[in-house]
Amino acid sequence: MALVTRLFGGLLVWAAGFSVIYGAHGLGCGLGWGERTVLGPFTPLNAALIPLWLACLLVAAWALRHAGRDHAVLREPALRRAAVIGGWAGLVGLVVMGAPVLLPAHCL
Amino acid sequence: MSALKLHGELDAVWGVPRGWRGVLTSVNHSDLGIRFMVAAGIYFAIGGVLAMLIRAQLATPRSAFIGPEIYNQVFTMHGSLMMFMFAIPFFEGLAMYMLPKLLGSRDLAFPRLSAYGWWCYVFGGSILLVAMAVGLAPDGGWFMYTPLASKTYTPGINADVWLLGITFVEISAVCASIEITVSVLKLRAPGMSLGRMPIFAWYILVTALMMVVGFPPLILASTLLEIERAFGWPFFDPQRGGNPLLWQHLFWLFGHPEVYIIFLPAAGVVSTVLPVMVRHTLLGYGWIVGSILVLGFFSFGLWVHHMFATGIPHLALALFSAASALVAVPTVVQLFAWLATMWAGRPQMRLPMLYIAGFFFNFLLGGLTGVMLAMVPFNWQVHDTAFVTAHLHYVLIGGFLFPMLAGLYYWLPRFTARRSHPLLGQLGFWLIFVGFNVTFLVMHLTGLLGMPRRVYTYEPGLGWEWPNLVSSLGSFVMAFGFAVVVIDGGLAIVFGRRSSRNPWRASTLEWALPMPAPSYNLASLPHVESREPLDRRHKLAQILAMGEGYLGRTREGLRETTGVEVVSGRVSEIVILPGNSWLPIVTAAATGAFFLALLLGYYWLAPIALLGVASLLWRWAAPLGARADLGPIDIGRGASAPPHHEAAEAPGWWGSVFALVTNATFFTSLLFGYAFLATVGPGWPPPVMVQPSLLTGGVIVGAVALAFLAEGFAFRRALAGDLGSAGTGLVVAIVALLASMLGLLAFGWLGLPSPRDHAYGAVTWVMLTYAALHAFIALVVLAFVRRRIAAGYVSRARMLEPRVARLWLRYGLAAMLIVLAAIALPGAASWRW
Repeated sequence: MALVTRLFGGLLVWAAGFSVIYGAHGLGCGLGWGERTVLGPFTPLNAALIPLWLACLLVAAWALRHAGRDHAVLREPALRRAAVIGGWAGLVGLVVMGAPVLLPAHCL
Repeated sequence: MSALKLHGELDAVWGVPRGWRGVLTSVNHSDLGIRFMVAAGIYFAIGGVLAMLIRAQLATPRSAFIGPEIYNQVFTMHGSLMMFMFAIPFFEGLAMYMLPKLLGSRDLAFPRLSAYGWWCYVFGGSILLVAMAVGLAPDGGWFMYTPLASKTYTPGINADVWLLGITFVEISAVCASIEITVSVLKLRAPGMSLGRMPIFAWYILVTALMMVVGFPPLILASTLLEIERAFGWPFFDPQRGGNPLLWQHLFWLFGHPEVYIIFLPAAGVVSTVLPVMVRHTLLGYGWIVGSILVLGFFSFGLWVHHMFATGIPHLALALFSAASALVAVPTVVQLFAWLATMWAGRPQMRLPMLYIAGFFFNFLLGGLTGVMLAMVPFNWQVHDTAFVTAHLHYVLIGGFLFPMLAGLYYWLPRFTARRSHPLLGQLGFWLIFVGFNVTFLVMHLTGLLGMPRRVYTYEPGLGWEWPNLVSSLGSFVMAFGFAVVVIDGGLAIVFGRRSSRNPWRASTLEWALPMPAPSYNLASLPHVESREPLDRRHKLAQILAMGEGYLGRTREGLRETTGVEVVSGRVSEIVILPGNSWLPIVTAAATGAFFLALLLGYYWLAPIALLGVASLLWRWAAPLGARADLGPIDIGRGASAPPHHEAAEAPGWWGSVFALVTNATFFTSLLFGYAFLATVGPGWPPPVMVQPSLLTGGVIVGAVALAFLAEGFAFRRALAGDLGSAGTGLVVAIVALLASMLGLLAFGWLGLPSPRDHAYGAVTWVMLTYAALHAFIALVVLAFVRRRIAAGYVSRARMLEPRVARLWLRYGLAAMLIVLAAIALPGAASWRW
């Protein structure tokens, strides 16, 4: 388990973040949060998804900060490098994939 | 002991009986790997002939070569055979054959599971081929979209053949994924840490892990659709609360990672073969490992790009469009690592390198059109046109077939101990390369001109005539190329020059084996100190053949190999593998009887077949283990290790962990389906919801808690050496499990609505059945351990079986509680006290 969290930490955060954002989007549309606007073109769905996305980014940044640091588990440089790449991928992946929540979110 | 005498002793232990008995009972990884690759090649040939039929039909407008009914079967079978019967089994075969040799092991972790998977593949594939021969082949496309594949629109048996045949074959894929994962993690040569693993093993490990979580959604989707077709439970019927899009979500949750499951092993071949061809160590090992991990994860976040035209919300389109474009980055990281390696080395344009060059060209084009298709407006324009057909063939043939052909030519001396004729091989390459590009480059244009996919004919005057004719001509050139490759391989086997031990002067361990490879691979196992063990130790092969490595002897006729700690590669146990056995083929036959009973409508026979499978699995586990503690045993080179049943985390434990991960993915997909229907299904909330009583729920939760506590007590007593009390604790846990299972079934019969009236009833019944089944599985596993305690197979040191049982019990208990909560809580407002 230590290997899984150390090596895949950033990517696990990405997977969880992506699932949460997509799930919340589906739930929000199901509950009708995208059907009215509250601030310009923005909807309550935006109001729910943007903080969620930012929270996911914070967790991904935290995971990146700790990626590849546990030398007891990741003794070899190649593994530490892979963990750091995973950390960066988790953060950048969430930035890029989650950025559309900044657009007006209508469930059309 | 001389090398020859040692060879004789080891071969007596690891060898396969001659004749048909050997064919039917062999569990040897080399035999099974070769069989998988040859059978997959045969399926490729059949799929290729079907492709020729498609191209012959489309060569001219208004062609009367084959009618629409047969055409539908032909393109469905072409796609299904290529995806399920060729690509995945071929790489499984390659992995099965190569991994132990690359990792310095004597076999895979679960040899009988490999053999069981092989026979499932044979029997499942036979169902598909027989159906095709009698004109009952599936005809709804290789993705079997609902409602087209539902009973209303496909009333015959054709869709059932696909659903049951493919699911049967998927058992083989899931077995292989668990087998491969555990083998890479545990069965390596001493000293081979994760960072010293050959890069091919990393690729295969990530691929196998993707299969562990990638295939269950498809198995779930097939199960649900078959239940709908057989019993009328409306998971996908919008008139009764179902949703056809649920099929697409589940299918593409599998289907998109499947593309990477096919690509990654091929990229692994490139990363292995290319450095040898350019005479330089692979640059960016850590970067490549990182990028394939990223690819493995990201590939699960793209599936909706196959559904861009289904009318899903725009925000979801944007999320998945961004994800689909981003996945190109880790792919390109590998590309740059390969280019850098080529730049640093001295490329030699030998036949494997020629195929790698072809891969670069074709896969780059496939990748570029992939990024184009990730953009929603473009995707909408070319959706369901020949452009997409061209793209996917560039990815799959360019990204899989070309590297695999490079690998086949590279490892041909390893497989056959012979070398092929370079000129014939080059002729084959050029025919395939030119024919492929003539066929599919033009097909992009056909798609841009508006020609839809899967149409059996078209009218003249639309501008589609000449590109179709050119594609058809190109496809036949390509087919000739494949024929030349087959002839070249056949000639090499029969007339080829004998190969030296390491003809490419490579530095990975598979080239340290004798030619041809003996049944036990290595007479003794090496201590690995670098990623390229043969680089500096040119005499290693001779040293190992003399038995001067680890386990350079036989002991009591047992099949022994080393098990290592996952990360460090330090020896942790001696893994004792089972020998040749009838059990795999008999169990696969019983499994086949189950699927045939469902296919032919003999539903009463299905539970009997399942009971047969369960009793065979009981016998499967019975011959393993030992009745006495042995402690650490000398393994040579001054080291010692205990047998695996005295180790804390033996391969069997890891196998159960990954089997449960597969199982949990299936369960999570089911919960996703439930949530999806509840959120967007038409006709929800359902007219009738369950009204659970606190009494029933309390009884079930109480029984679950009792089973948990009783097993915990039994485990602690066994650790303390008090086996009598442990046995008693297990009996209490078994009774509690029985109570919880009966409670669940009572809960369903008394509270759940009919599964035929609404998707709510259907999906909740499936969830309940899943939970009850896992209570039963846990019960059987605990009963097995109880019996093993009585028979003397468990002691304070030999705790492997109780540890495995604990995994299955706890998973089953968690599944029961989750199902109970998922069904009961939405109706909690109407709870009666």
